[in-house]
Amino acid sequence: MKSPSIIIAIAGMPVAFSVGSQRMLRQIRARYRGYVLRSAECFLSLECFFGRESFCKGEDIQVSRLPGGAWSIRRNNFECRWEGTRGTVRLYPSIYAFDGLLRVVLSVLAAGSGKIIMHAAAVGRKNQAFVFPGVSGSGKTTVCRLLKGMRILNDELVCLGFGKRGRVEVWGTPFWGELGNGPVHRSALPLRAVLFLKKEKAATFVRNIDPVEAVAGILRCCCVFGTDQEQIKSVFERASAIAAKVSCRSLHFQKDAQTVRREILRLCRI
Amino acid sequence: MSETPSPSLIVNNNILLDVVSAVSGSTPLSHKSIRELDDLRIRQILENNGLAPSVYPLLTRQPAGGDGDAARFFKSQYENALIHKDLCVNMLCELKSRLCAGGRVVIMQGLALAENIYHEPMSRQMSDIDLYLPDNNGLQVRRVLAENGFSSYGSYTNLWYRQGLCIDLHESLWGEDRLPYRRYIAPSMASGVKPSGLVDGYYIPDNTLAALHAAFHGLKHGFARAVWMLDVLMLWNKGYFKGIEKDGAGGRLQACALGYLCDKGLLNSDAYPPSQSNKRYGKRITAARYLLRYGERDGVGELVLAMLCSTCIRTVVYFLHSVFPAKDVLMQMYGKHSGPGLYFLRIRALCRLCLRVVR
Repeated sequence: MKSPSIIIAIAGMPVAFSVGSQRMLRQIRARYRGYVLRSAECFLSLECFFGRESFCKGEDIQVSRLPGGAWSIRRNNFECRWEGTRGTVRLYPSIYAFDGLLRVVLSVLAAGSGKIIMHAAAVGRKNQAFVFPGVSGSGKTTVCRLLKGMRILNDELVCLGFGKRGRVEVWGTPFWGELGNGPVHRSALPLRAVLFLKKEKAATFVRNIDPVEAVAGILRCCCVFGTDQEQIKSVFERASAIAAKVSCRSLHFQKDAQTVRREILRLCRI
Repeated sequence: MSETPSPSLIVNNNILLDVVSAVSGSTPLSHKSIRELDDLRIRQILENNGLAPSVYPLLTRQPAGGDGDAARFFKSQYENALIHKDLCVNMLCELKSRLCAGGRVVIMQGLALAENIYHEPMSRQMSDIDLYLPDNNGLQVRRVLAENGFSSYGSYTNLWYRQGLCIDLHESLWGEDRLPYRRYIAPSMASGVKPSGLVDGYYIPDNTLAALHAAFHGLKHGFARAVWMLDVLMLWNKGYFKGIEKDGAGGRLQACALGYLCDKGLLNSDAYPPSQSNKRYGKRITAARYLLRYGERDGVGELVLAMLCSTCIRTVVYFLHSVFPAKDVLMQMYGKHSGPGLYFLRIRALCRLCLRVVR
């Protein structure tokens, strides 16, 4: 008998999971509420098997592309392999293991479909989005808190891609940071500006940055696992295209909601 | 009265030479230099001298060298340099079919050196892409650049910009299009190019031309940035200077550049014995080396090149037309640095040289 399936569509990339365990299925439904679809043409269908063994040592993620074109992903709590649009996954029966798996699978699929998954916060206002890339501790959640009242797409992980007429778009994801679970945003918003965060003590201001620095900043925050040349090339090309098409600046900010909001509103008007 | 450089200058000079020597593989980076990398001012000096991206691979070889604030700074510089190189390569690939349709396009300087000597994990800082157009295809190349979103630097159509990338077009190898009397120091034999492996469809200089051009470029700018010394040293280590004839202009450029590296302690007499230097033009080369040692600014480069002309008459003609050229030529070559300061610098360096001769 075939296991019941669940389709999770994040950033326009539906992935189907056949999950045998009812308990896990309930947890997955609850965790990804708002991103679950009834039916869709899926990028990938994965059959899940649960086990309590350790799949590899350490917490590092091992992503590799096998000679035939198949993908293999391993971490201590899951092991996944797929070829074309079908594959299997063995994982520890925990929603955290599933969450980790989904992040890595999405980053691989995103690179293959001209998108990038990025460590960044994103806020929307009047049908346009601002992205604030940054590594841990750079102030992504702080900025989201300061911009309370605006539409927060995510404070940890967002997806950037290209829509109609080459327009750069931003999708929210269910992978939230310190803000916990936020509102669901399944549709994309056009990207207005990329603002690299720099903490300041005395003032809030926006500075133009060199395009090379912009590409470097985007690449530093991209989620790329593994060393597949094709995947890395795709991510590099997307990052340079985003830096070329979208205004990239650095936002030097102090913890003052009013000044940060003022700078963002000023950028909205430019 | 002898002039004593200030202690800060000595420190800066020492760390630059230490880094150049370490990057070229001659000596490991000293512990003293590693400690000095924590100084923000030293980092700025290394960045201004084009050496910051080269420091990170050196630090990763040190125990625990990849940690700390300094390592983070040099890592980001290193990454930026690699990304800049990749963006330049991508852009050249994108324009290949149109840019190379009318004749050969030769990649010079940074990108060519990146292919020749600065392979990953090394990285060389570049500010622009220098393209040499040997087949009179300048008009066509300019049209292609304009059609593909590049804009020129005002009325000066040799510099083209797009999204932070800059292309510098050269229609002559030694700058004769800007300063016609550069032909006095132009080596006659060097015009060899070979297909580029890094960017398909383009050409890069062959080994001898790459070495001669790096020496010429360093001398032209008075080795004002340490990365130009590093280029020459790396090319010397690769043996690219071997095919250059001694008596011609190429020999004089080589003798002066390598002699200057000897003065700086980057090459020792075992590696470049005095017997290899140019005896016929020995005094001229000594004078040029003196100017380099006590000038060390962008502006004294033309004085050095004047000294390297083959006859006194040529030196005088070069002085009149190239060292103190027309204002518009100076603007093209030095932009905002072409004010009276440049004349002052050159006259001061000349006076110093004269005093030295008198003594």
